[in-house]
Amino acid sequence: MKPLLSINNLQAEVEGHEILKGLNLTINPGEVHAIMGPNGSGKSTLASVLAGNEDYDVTGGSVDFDGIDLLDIDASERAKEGLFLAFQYPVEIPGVSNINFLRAALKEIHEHKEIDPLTAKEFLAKVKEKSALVELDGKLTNRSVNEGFSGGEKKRNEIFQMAMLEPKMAILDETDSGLDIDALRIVAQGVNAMRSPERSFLLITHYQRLLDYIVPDFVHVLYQGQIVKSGPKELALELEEKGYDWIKEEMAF
Amino acid sequence: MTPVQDHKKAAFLEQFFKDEEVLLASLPHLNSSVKNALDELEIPHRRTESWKYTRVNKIINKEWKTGSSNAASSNSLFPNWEGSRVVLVNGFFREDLSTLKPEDGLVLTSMKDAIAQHGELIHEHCASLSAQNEELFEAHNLAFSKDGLFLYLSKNAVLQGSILLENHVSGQNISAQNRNLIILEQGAQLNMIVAHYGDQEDLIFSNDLSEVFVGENAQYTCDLVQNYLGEEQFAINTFWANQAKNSRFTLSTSTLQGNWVRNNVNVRVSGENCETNLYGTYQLRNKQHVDNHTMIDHKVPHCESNEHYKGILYDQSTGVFNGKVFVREDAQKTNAFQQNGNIVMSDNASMNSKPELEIYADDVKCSHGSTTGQFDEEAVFYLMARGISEQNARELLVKAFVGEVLEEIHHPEVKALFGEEE
Repeated sequence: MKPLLSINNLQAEVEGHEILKGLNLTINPGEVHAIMGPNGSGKSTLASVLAGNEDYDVTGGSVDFDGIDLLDIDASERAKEGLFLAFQYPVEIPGVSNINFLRAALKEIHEHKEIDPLTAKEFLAKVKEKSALVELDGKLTNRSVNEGFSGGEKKRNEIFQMAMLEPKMAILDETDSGLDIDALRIVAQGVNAMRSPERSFLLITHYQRLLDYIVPDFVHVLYQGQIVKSGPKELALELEEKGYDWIKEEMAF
Repeated sequence: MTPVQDHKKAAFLEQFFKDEEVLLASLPHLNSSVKNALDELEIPHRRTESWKYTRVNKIINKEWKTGSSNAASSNSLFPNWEGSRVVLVNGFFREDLSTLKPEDGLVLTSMKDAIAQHGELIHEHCASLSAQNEELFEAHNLAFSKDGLFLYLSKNAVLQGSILLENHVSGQNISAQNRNLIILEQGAQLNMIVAHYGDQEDLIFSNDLSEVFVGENAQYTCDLVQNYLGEEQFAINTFWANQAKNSRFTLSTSTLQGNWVRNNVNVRVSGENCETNLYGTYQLRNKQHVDNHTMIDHKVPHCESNEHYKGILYDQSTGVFNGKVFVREDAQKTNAFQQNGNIVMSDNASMNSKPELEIYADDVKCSHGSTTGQFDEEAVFYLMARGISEQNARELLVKAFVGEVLEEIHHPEVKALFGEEE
């Protein structure tokens, strides 16, 4: 099988601090990977670099996404190619309505793929269907992007947007952090409904709890800018139970 | 005043004294005080508080003459306007270009004719609000104005459509001093668009002043649009309004283009239970300079004012906002809200914003604020991460920023100038 995403020896820094120090990861279509790791290990940097945040400087390595050199194109083009990032801290954008912004995004994505744009009716039907998936109130879909949303609503809005844009690959950056169990269940339900043999997920998380709801195919441990251990889903349980110290010790030897 | 300034002022004013056909010739009761004011008042300079960030030297040092009333006036932002249209060219009322739809209770004529036909109204109102004794350019307008619009709505007259007033100043070294008087009697209601134009190649100075009397329970709504396309164009636009009780005054100012624009909006709220709304938006490029000065004077209780100006400054542009709200001792239960927001897009652009509240009453609700910042790059990235191109993301955010103010514009024809779809 041809991998959907292959990251080779990726190195990145922010404001002169080296964060990613030669990271390797391969994700095949349809797979769900989880990346765990202690604070400061580079988890969110990885998400930002993949999505094209220019605050981070890539200093080495390569990323191939479905045959495209990902590092060669900007954030907007990455999204058009089918990469999605659910933000750890979704940005509030006063004056831009959720709906209008998604309409603009879908229009550009469809133009890029050279497929017909949705009619107004089709678009609204899709909004209705996908917002129901994450139990997002119809009123919120019409409000300014994330403005005045609760923490849980912001995260559900991220999943709603993902469902609207139907990416090939979604990166969820600590989408579970700060969520109560009901919100977590709703978010997971949205993600699970979108799982398919073609679509892959990269879950970045602190907590094993998420993985009870979204069961991963692989779990990786990120430590000091590198993936230091990979395993099946049971690895997450082991990490939850034993913390990260045993991995640090393993590494020391 | 230094002798140099004195000399400069004399030279500047002298060019205008050559004109004989001024309105003032028919307003003898104002004559001597205006002449005195022109003698006494200084040219505004750096230490003149209300002109601190706006230099007038370029106006004072240039040569000016009166333009022809027959100058071309093809350029209009509202070519398909179907309602009443009033056209002023180089300070002259052009009846031939105007299309006036007679309506019950409406008197609409040139100021010149109004002085002859409605002497009493003119005598009572004209120059009774404006500050010709304090502001050189207001004295200049009154002294040298040749014409303008006179509009009178009788008691309970409600116009069916809006009135479009188009002001063209065109030619080389041409100045115009339009002077308008608008009177709404009790219960009258008027919506209008006032548009100002300057053609690309022209060198002009437009010093325009309107006095608006909003009677008891009357409602006045105006969208002011400025589109001065040339580099050597100077415009001063002054509004003076008085509100009687239970009235509403709403003015939006959209500066689409303007290399040197000074707007003065002054509202005296003289009756209880009034509503005053002032909105403004500007998007400045190159070396454009726009200065919005506003004053709302709450003299009596139970009134409400809202003021919201928003702008975006690119390149080497400069902007000024100075909003003054007075809440006098008797003006209890006043609700006054004032906000100015700016995004500075370039290291070479600058904004001077000064919201001012002077409160002498003790039971009021007032807030004012000013924000000037840079573009929210996180928001740009967020939009891009959803597939929106960088350029579109920036445009969307600019639109969203000024959108709050655009929403308040009354006429869809004016909103359309910003590419608003709804």
